Amino acid sequence: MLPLGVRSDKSMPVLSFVLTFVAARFSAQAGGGGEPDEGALLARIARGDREAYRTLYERLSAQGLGLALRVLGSRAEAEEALQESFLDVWTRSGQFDAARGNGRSWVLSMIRNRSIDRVRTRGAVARMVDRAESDAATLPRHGETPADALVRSEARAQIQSAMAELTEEQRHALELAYFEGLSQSEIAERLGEPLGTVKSRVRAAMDKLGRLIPKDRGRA
Amino acid sequence: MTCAEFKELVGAYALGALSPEECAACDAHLSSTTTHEDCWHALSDANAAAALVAMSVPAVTPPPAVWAAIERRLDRAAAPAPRRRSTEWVAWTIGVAALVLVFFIARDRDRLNDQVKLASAASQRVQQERASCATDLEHARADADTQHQALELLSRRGTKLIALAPQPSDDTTRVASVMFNPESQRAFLIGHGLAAPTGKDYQLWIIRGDQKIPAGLLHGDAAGGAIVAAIDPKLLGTAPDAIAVTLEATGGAPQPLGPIVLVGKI
Repeated sequence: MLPLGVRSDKSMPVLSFVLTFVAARFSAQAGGGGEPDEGALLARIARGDREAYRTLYERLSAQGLGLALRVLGSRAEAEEALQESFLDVWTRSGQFDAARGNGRSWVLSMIRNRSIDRVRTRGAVARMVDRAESDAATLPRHGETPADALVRSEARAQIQSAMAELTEEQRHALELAYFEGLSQSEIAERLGEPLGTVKSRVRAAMDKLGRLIPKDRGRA
Repeated sequence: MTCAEFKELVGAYALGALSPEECAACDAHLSSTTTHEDCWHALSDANAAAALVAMSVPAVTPPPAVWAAIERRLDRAAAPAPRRRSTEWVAWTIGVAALVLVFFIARDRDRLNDQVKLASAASQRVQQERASCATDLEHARADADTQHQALELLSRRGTKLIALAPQPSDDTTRVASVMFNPESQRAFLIGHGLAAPTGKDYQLWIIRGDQKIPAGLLHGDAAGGAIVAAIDPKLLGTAPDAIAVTLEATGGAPQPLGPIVLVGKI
């Protein structure tokens, strides 16, 4: 059964349980009969497996487009960034190192970096144009069952709940770093805060989120 | 950098929020062969936490066109392109050959233009020389004809040969004789040393009583060769009394003004 009812309980143990469940649905089940995790897909992609590539795209493209849209603020630019990022995934999948993190983190970081690069090099002229689209309804993707979509929605809701656990200052520092690509020094300058304060906020925020990571997945 | 220092920074490292120097220090630490205190696990967790930040935003399903565009790009990159390469190679070869050809044509065009100009000038010179030769030949033919007629007249019966006396009598630089046939009223002057100085011409005169009738200019051979000049028969209708040569200004004169250098009584 899906743990849909746990949203009301924002306690860390429950949230960690949900994330573990999501990981079980979407990630590694090495040696089992379930779906391969993103790391395994990347290994197959590195050998030129187009089917694995399609599977990875179906699994991460919606989250990737949401991320690119959040960074760029323009739907058209976000779709271009998504396209470029997945082409990067195809050509650079051989460089994926599971010791540094899981495949999902690697793909999302590529999308994030591509989007940040676009912001830096082109300037987000149309940044505000499609901002409203970031709230667009999430539709089930090709090859995704309604149950999967529900899990995905539930997982995002739980992650958003986890983000809500952060203080406003911590969340703001995190968002400036991740979505706007600012360094801690630039964040301090932007906010008019001491650098040490910003570093503490970032570290505390990442520690909180890190406690949500199922350790068996993180070690996989 | 120690492992403890790395783990202090690993969250910001995963977020991409470090300065370039800090980032390089973290990279160097991970690359070091020292025994790490769970650094890789810390990094993996931090990356997973950063992914949670990414997943906190609403997912947006991309339109099918995005995947279609990705597939097109992959197909284009994967498709073998020997024909295209071959076409490109041929195109480049033709292009380079055309450039080389244009270069040589441009270079040779100037050279050919110069050659055409030289050839044209040479041709002009040849034409002039040909015309000059034709004139010379015409003159030579006329001279030969005159000499032939003079010889023919000389062989006729009744032809008189009158030697013209130099004036002064001891001047031997100019020598001339006139052959005259009263019956046919034809006469020729034969002489040499009759090349006139610059600005002067020797002029022949028919003298009849008090009349001094101009009978033409004598153009002697500058090399000192003999000349033969025909005398207009119209001037000989009535037998002349004498024939004289004067040295006149260039072009001659209607009446003798210069000194008489040769004279002979008929």
